[in-house]
Amino acid sequence: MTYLLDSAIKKPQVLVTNHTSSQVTSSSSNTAVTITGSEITYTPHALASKVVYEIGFYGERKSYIIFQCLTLQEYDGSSWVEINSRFLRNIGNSGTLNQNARYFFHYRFVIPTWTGSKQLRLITASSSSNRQIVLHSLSNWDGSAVTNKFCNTNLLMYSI
Amino acid sequence: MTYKNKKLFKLFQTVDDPSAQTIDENYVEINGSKCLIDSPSSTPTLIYKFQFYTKDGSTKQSLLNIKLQKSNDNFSSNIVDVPNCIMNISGDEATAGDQYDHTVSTFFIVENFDSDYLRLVCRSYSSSFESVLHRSSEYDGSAATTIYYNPSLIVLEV
Repeated sequence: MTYLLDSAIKKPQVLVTNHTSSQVTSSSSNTAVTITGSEITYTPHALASKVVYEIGFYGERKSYIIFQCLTLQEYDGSSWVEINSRFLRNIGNSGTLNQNARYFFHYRFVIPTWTGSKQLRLITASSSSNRQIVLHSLSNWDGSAVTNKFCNTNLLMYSI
Repeated sequence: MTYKNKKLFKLFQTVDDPSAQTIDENYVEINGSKCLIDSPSSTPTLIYKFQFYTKDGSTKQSLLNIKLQKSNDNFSSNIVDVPNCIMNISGDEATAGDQYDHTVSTFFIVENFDSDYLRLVCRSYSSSFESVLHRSSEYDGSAATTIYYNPSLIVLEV
């Protein structure tokens, strides 16, 4: 017996990253880091017209400003390159220096398909210094300050 | 060769005109987030996407603790937190009166799901914070009491 999958999406691939430590982005300007859990190798469905890269991760910063520029990259065989300027995202707040913010980031990128396998990842940097964000760990939970609470990074890729 | 369709679970649901939920320090189920997983697989991998609206309540500051839970008895007595499917949501709360209006877009992947139900619950971090879900008090330049944001849930087995 051969089964045909009755799925709304083609060739899904998931990556769940269970964090045990936080990841702090660079405090220097224009210094990118790869978001842990964002890198994946994917081969699109043969009949795909587009590929979807969908990711969820947590970040926060207390008592300062956040500003980050996220870039979806692909590996071209020799280096990591921006796929297209359409696949950028800015996040942040502004105002006084004692800003607090806690976010769950959920991004969906619909990108052109390709043949064969390809590596993709999401990097983040700031154009100014001291605009970093702390990823994956929660510093407050159930009324108390905590150091042992983490949010998984969830990555789903599929073809449409 | 015989072919047979293998059905994968999928669910799309919303709540129309939900009542406002005022969130204090006790965990409550977020209206519209609960679903029964009816999969032919005993341990499916599930994509859980839920969107809802939140704003500050009477405290004028908001800090929500949110977590995903599962159950095999419709959350009657069996209630289990799904590990590491948690988040905090807040805007600036450094100064009293820092208000925050936000649409929360959750996105979790649950592998080897071994139960029957999923839902999201939330609480406010402390009594200094209060949130209201699903309702806005300002819109189009005016104070409003009847602006509702319907929460929406998508669950897909992959």
